[in-house]
Amino acid sequence: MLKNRVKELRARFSYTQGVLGEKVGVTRQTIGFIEKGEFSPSITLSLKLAHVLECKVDELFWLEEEE
Amino acid sequence: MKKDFRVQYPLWQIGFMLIFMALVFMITGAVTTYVNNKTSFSYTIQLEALEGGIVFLLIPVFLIMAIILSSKLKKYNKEHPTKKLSVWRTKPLEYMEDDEAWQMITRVATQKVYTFFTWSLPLSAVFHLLIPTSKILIILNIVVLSLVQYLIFYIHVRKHVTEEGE
Repeated sequence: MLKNRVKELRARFSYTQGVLGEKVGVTRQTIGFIEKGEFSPSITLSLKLAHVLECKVDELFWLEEEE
Repeated sequence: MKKDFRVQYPLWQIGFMLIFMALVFMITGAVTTYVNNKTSFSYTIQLEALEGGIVFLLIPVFLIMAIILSSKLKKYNKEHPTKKLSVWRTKPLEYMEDDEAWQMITRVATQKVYTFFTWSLPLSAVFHLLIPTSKILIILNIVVLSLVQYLIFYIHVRKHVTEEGE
């Protein structure tokens, strides 16, 4: 299962979902879907998010074994 | 997003289809003479007071709905000048492809609709083949399938729209 720290890092930069979405070129709802783990972003979008949130992609997204 | 024209569009289609179905029922039920041969075609309907009243009520409702839908489409196009919608384009208006997440939601919704048609179309064909039915029942069958198609699409998209949050 794909886990992420988007919400945590977004809060660090005091970005709203809308602002972050605008910076990476997606809708506010899509940022919400990613944060809740409902949507796995493409490599391109993951790279853009990592760039905006100033971290590496594997610090932002990682795989966790499902129980 | 809940009030997005594209989210609500399937509901409008369902509304139009329900009115169409009611009109088909009323009008075909009131047919008194029907001639269709090589030389002539004639169709006479005789509506009772109640049926006539309902039909003449449904027609303006249909027209008012069409006017409201048209104004909503105009408003949407004014608010989204770079992503204008048109009823004349081949791509369905309800498709939401703003970004990759919405493309995925639309894709899954259309897959569900495709799965529905994979089963419902052959079953409908077998039904009409084995059981002698009228033309009107075939038309209603098509309308019902189309109505369910919009319902499946709407329910899937709506689920994601309501789950959104800051």
